[in-house]
Amino acid sequence: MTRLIKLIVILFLRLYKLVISNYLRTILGNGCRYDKSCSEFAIEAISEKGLVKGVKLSLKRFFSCQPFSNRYYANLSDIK
Amino acid sequence: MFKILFSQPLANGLVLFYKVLGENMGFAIIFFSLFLRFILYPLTKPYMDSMKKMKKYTPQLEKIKNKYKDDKLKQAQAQADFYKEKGIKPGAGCLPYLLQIVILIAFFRVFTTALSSNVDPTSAFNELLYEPLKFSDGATINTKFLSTSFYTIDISKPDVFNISWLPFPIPGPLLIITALVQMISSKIMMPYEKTSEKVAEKTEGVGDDFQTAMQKSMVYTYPFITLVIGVRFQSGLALYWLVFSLSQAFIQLRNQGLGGLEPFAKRLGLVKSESEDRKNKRKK
Repeated sequence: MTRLIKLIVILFLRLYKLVISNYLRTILGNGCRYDKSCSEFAIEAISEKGLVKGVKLSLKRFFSCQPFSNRYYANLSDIK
Repeated sequence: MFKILFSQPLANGLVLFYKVLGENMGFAIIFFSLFLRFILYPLTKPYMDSMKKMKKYTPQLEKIKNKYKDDKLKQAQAQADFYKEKGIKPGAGCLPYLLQIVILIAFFRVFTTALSSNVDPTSAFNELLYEPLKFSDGATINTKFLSTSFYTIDISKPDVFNISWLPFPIPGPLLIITALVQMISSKIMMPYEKTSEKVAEKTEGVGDDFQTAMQKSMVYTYPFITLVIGVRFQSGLALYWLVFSLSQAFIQLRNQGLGGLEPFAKRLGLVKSESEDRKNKRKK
């Protein structure tokens, strides 16, 4: 069951990346401070660390992407 | 919660501009959205500045990428060191951009609730407004924008022509201009046109190719979606969208140049191509 949920979440993230993220990029410009986007990061984190930990790490990374944060998590290995 | 935090302040700001700018909702939308852009600009400026620097150092960054082609970790480290050395701070991040999306949604909600054709705009606005800005009973809101004898844009109605023998409405001039500006703006927004193609060619797998192709088609698909959606909603939204896209294009143009529009501008002779530039420099 968890495997199925994991697959659905990853599918949703891929779809987001392809359609919504691309749309936001064309209207707002590229705002990301990382080379690897948060959706790519989340896909990697969830596939490698599992659903719960993957989502937790992805959220941590997502909230580091703002002007008031000093944290810089370029890769999955940078974040615990 | 969303109403108190976003919709209400936005509606009040809009009405303040409406009252100051001679009671024309169209002009109020234009100047209020420009004002919003202006106050949000400092949030995105650090990112724009570092992008400018990154563009300057593209050859060096490409070298670093090629040097550590097989080791992503080292590549990221070397890149981070290079950024530090050159004083490039990592961008502002996505949260300021999310704020813009939230504003967009709030605007959408204000328009669809207060300026809808089946409610009285005065009382609908009064529900959102703070006490000093409330309209008096019986006051009417001027929603006519640029009214001429030939064509009037009413921002509380969709900007469309209805032709009796056609089953669907035809987009009006404001909507068409908005879609065109959105197209030009997203063309400018596209990153240095050739790099992403080159990267896609080099990398294995179809993912990147697909991504690049998708991005390219987006430039034309999304303005089309704007047209399709625009015929159903109040033209005030289209007006906001037009100002938003125009200011976005202007900011991008000033900070990062023509982007994806460059080949087109070169073809029109609006800008000189790099080879011509080099020739001129040699002559000097």
